[in-house]
Parts: sequence; C-alpha cells; structure tokens
Amino acid sequence: MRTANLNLPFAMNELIPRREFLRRSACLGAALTGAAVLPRFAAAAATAGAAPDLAVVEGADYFNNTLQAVELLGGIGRFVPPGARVGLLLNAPRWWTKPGSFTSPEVGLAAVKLCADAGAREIMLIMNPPAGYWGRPARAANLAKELSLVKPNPGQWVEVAIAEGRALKQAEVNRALLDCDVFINLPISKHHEGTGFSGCLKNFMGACAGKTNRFFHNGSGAAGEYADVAFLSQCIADANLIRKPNLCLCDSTEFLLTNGPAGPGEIRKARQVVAGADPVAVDAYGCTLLGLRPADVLMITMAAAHGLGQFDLAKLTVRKATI
Amino acid sequence: MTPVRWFPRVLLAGSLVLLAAGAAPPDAPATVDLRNLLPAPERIAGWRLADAPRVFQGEELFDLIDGGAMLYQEYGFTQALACRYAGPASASLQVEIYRMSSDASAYGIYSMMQSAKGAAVDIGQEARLFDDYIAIWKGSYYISVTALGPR
Repeated sequence: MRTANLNLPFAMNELIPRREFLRRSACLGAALTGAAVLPRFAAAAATAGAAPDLAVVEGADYFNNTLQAVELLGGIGRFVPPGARVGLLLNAPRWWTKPGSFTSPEVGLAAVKLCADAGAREIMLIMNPPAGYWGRPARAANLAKELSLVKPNPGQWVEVAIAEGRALKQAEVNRALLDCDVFINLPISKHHEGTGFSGCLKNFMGACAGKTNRFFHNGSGAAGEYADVAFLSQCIADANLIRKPNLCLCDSTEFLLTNGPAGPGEIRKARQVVAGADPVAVDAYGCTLLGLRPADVLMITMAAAHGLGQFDLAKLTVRKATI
Repeated sequence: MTPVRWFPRVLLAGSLVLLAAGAAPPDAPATVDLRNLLPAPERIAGWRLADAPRVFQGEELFDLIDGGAMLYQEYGFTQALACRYAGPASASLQVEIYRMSSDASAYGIYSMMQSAKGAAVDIGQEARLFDDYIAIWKGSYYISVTALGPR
C-alpha cells in the first residue's frame, strides 16, 4: 500500500490520550497535530501522482544536490506547509566521526533551508548532532536565520505500542518524532556489519531509546548482537510502523562500503542525494549503490511486507539529474 | 577534503603511534596506560591533541563507535583509547588504539577491517594504508588513524 506523502497515524501511543489520538487519526489519516495545515496536505495528495517516486541528483555540491532533488519531487511545498513544526532525523550522532559514516552537514543544511523557505515554524532535531556540526560547511555563515529555527532535542521519551509489529510490540521513542507535524528522515546510505545496509529504515533506530534498540539486538535471546539479523531486521521494520516519514533525503554522496557502521572503511563517492517520500523505495535505490539487491536486504523486504513502501525499482518512477 | 593530501600525515601519525605502542611491555599489555602509547608532542611537529584522550572499557565502547562495537567485543575487546589531533590547514586525525585480549584477537579485528584495496605498509607486524586511514596490527593492539578532513 502506498500513501504518497501522507503518514500513517501514530501507533497506539499509550501516553497520548485516546481522544487526542482519534482526533489526529481523523485528519486524512495523516500524523498532523494542527488543523491549520490540513489544506496544504490535501493539495499535496492530489498532486502526488505527477511527481516521481524518487529523485536522484548527482553533483559535487551536496547542498545543491539536495535542493534540486526536492525540486524534482515537486518542491518542498509538497511536504512542508507554512507554520509546520518539522522533525529532522539526521544520522549524525557524536559517535559517527569517520568519513562516510554520518549524514553530511551539507545535506542537513539544505534540509534546514528548504524547511525555512517553506515557512516552517520550528525545526526540531530528533537526535542531536555533535557540537559544531552545522557550522562545518562554509555556507552555514549565510544561513544563520534558517539555523535559528533549529531546536536541539531535549531528550524526552514516550512509550508507544506497535499493534502490527511482529517482533517489536512496544518501543520507547523520542517525543519529537511524535510531536512534529512533518517528519523528515535524513540518513546516510552506508555499509552495516549487522544488517548489511543502513539507510532510512535503519536510521529510525536513531529515534528510539537505547533500551528499545538493545531489544532489537538481543530480544530474541540471541547470544551475539548480530547473531539474529532476521529478528533485528524485523524489529527495524516494525519500528518504522510508528511513523512513516513525510520525506526522506538520503545522503549517498560519500559513504562506507566496508566496515560500517562506524568505519574507517573504503569510501564510495557516488555524489548523489536520493529523495522520496517512501523510505523503502529510497533504501531500495540506496542499497544498489553499495552493490546490494533490495530483495536481499531483510529489513527492506520486511518493511515492504508491512505496506511501508515499494522495493521493486522496476515499479518506481525515478527522475535523475546531474548538476 | 583531498584524501591524497593527507596520506603522509596519516602515515606519519600511524607510525608515531605505533612507535610509542612498541615501547609497551609486550607481556603485560593490560597494565600499560593507553595514554602512554601516544607519541610525544615533539615527535609529531605540526600536530597537537585537539581534545583530551578518552579511554573506554567494556560496554563503554558503544559510546565511541555504537553499533561498530559489537565486532570488537566478539573478538575480545579489552580497552580502547580515542583522541583527535589537529594539524595544518584545519586538518584533523582520529587516532584509536584498541587493546585486545590476545595477539590473535588483535589480528582478528585487524583482519576484519581489511579489504583488497589497502596497500601494505611496513609498520608493526602488519599494516595497510587506505585512501583516508591506516590500520595497524602489533601484538595485542589494533590501531587505526583516520583523516577526518578540515573541521
């Protein structure tokens, strides 16, 4: 089942009063928190058919690649209505320091600019990057106004039930993931020792609390952390049921081909940014850049089985550009 | 970042770290403070410690490399040191020294971090140089020095 850029409603979040949950769920099935943004989302749904499933832009300027990829998808207005609170999930925690292991700040900065240009009220970080992250690109100095919208994550967590989860029935997730009107997933595509690949779906673990992620690894009783990849992959697919992103901007510019997720390892410089609303489709494309077939990456097929997206690239419309 | 530009720096830093590591008593690896294995400042002119070295033990390794820690633990991780050196033109190197439970386990993790693209380098018992990092094995130590580029 494909839902264009509309999210599934929140999972049965025990800490959100039932009445509030139903109110949100009634809004076109989207995970929206304010009625003011509904018309924009309705319009987006109506025009979704004209846009490609994926936009891929290759070039040396990763910031501009990102802007152009969103333009190819129909523009940021399709995804971010004025006044929205946007949640960004970067794969750039402090422990990913080595080349090709974290989302480029150029890609992150472009996302911030896009949201600001669309009239976002606030940009909430779902996981904080290390100090100095935003300032690394020289162009950050010209984006001070846009960056002023970015709010650090305060580290508040919420227990969520996952009714359709097969291995994961409950998770503790960052409150910002649930509170934002628009959820943008900003992973890097890279090698991963356990799952073979890390992209949008795997990055969702960045929105989960440590105890939840530990369950992914040892909840089946596996002796080693990667001893049960099927269970780990199923947990990742299940967790992604909690909230589907409105937009994925995947950094496939410079990434680990070996020794992921931490590195150091061999780097491929594909210089691409992959954009799409469907995290399964974005991962399906992204894993091919590492020489993998989507059908061979368990979490991708398991997420597709949940109806979270399409991994058959032959069935996807992919628009490419080089700048 | 132009990785080729950093090759000599990576090699230099890797060499110096290993020279220091070579001074460690090989029969008492668990008693040596890993900080003592870092090269003396005068031996790496142009480079300085950008932050205080941190030492990690047991589960603390997840604070350093998160999901990457699992492989090291399976191979017999004992202790690690991580630090960053700042150099010319805003260049930055990350040095990680891993003390493993035995020579065999150190070689094991070293071998897992290899690929055919690395060039053999005459450092320690075995070392390979890649585009932006060098991996070194000596005794019960595995060392990586990675070019992080301008910061």
